[in-house]
Amino acid sequence: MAETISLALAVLALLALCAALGLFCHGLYARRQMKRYKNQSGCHK
Amino acid sequence: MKLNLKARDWHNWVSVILVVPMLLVGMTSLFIAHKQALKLNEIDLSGAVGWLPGYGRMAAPGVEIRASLTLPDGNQWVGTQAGLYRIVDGQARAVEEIGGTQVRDIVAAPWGIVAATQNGVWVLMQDGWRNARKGDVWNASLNPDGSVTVAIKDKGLLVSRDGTKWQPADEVRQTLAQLPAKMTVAERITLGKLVTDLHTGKAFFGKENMWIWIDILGVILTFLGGTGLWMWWKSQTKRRDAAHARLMQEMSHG
Repeated sequence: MAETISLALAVLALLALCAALGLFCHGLYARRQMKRYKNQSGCHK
Repeated sequence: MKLNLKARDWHNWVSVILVVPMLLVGMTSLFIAHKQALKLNEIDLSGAVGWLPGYGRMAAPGVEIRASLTLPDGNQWVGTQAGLYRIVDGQARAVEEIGGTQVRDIVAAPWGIVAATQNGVWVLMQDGWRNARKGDVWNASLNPDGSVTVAIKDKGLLVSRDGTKWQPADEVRQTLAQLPAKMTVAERITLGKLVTDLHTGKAFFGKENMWIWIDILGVILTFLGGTGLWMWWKSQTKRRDAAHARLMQEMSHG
């Protein structure tokens, strides 16, 4: 029983870490997009 | 490329880059604090974690010798950091049942061979090796009457005369309990131990309750890491959306 709970908790922790990694990568991507929009915006001025 | 980072920028970028390892440390500390209750050492993941760089060398058979026993017939048993081996005619054969487990002591009793390992007391009898008692076993010793005494972490001494039944050696515990406080040998506290105990919280809460310290800090570390990452992500997407909206506005105005 304890082993099952431990594995379930470990999987949850792993999922949370994956979500954090996903959020981190998406944040970097959003930053890159922002810079691109700003550059394009500069061209239109 | 112009690099003009202020203290706030340093703080932001270092924390953003290290947020995932920070979450990893925070979460794993919670698991470590409750390692025994969750029986983490009984869940074998050897086959699943071989890709991790740190386990590359550990994947090879363990050769760090921890214990040895030579029998009158010349056969030898060798306990290692990761398993028990029988050496016959210069050939080492691994004991499958005790594979991957730290073997700390081996004793030959009249009724069989006893191995003290990190995951219990193993006894070799007529029908092969079997796990006689679970626990973190420090050592085993043969008594003059043919019985074997083992010392198990948090359980104390256990004695067996046949390898099947293990009885607590309460008389030793009682004798030690009768010692006056002045006579007991105090634990030696070195600077190294103090630093470790300050880190783990043992210095404040004691061994039994140091999980409180670890839990508090682990939860806070995970919480701060999670909320910090969330705020950073929100700010990045918000800034992107604002830049996008501005671009759309400029394009619509020609």
